[in-house]
Amino acid sequence: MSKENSNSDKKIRLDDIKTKSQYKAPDGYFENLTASIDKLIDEEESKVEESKFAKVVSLRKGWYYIAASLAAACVVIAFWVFPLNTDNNPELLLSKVSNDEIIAYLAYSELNTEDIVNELVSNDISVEEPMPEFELSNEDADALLDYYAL
Amino acid sequence: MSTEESLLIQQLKNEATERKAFSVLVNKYQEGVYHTIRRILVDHDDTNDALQTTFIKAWKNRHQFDENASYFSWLYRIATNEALQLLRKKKHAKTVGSEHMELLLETAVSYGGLDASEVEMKLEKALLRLPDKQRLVFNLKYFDDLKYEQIAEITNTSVGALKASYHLAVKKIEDYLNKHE
Repeated sequence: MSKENSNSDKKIRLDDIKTKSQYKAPDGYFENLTASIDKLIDEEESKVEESKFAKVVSLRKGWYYIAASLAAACVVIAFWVFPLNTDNNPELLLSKVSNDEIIAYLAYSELNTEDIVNELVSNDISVEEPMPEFELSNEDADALLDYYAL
Repeated sequence: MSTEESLLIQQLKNEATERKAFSVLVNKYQEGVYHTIRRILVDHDDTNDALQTTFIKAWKNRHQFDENASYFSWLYRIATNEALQLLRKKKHAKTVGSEHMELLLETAVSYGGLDASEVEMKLEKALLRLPDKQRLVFNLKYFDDLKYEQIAEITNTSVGALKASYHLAVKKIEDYLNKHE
């Protein structure tokens, strides 16, 4: 075999490559990496806290829906067991309570005016009776304004 | 596992010391994990994304880590899975092929991200033609100089299958080097 043939037959082997190339990260990359990871973990932890809170709220909401459904079911059963034209009819019962007693009850309950208005609006209940009209003369109005220093 | 690392793992399992212990582990493994991921993804930005996800996953799953296992292998398994998954996504989206990877390689060389001689560059190009998993096995053995047993833990593959895969990779690489002499 000639020398030329011997050279052309020589195969490159992996072991012939004596050095190993290495990728380089941009300058200063590793100095800041631990801090970046720390920051990401902080964000991750706050997400975990938020999702825990959201779970509790959603669980509570779930219980509210269950309680509301049970209450509605109870009302339906009550109406079924005690028909409307008996003494247990809520409207009939309520008609027996005087307005003064209702006002006294509301005054001692935790409901405020805003709650009552909201309840009326959300249930689309209109106050049919208009506000009582009253006459106020100019002199009386001036006297009231003077009295309250307005 | 060294005594120092056992202590770190114990601290990682304790709520009062877990953050500090994790920072020490990040600091200890960040460079090694970076280079392993970079060899798979080639691009620095992709590597950075995969590296951050790796450490976030390692943090979130810290309670699942078995104290008797090797943290190194556990972390490297997360890292290599993350890198291969990202590569798969890119291939699926057709944003990455071997030509694109070669372009990334040449960009890395141009911007000083890879210091390679002519023959080393040929080796890098040959590597890009290997299937991803085989390339990973080759990298862990040839560049990271890991034992087959360690690679088996990381890749969840038998030592025999790894040896076969590595020798096949070497043959393919040598064929490429000889064809592109």
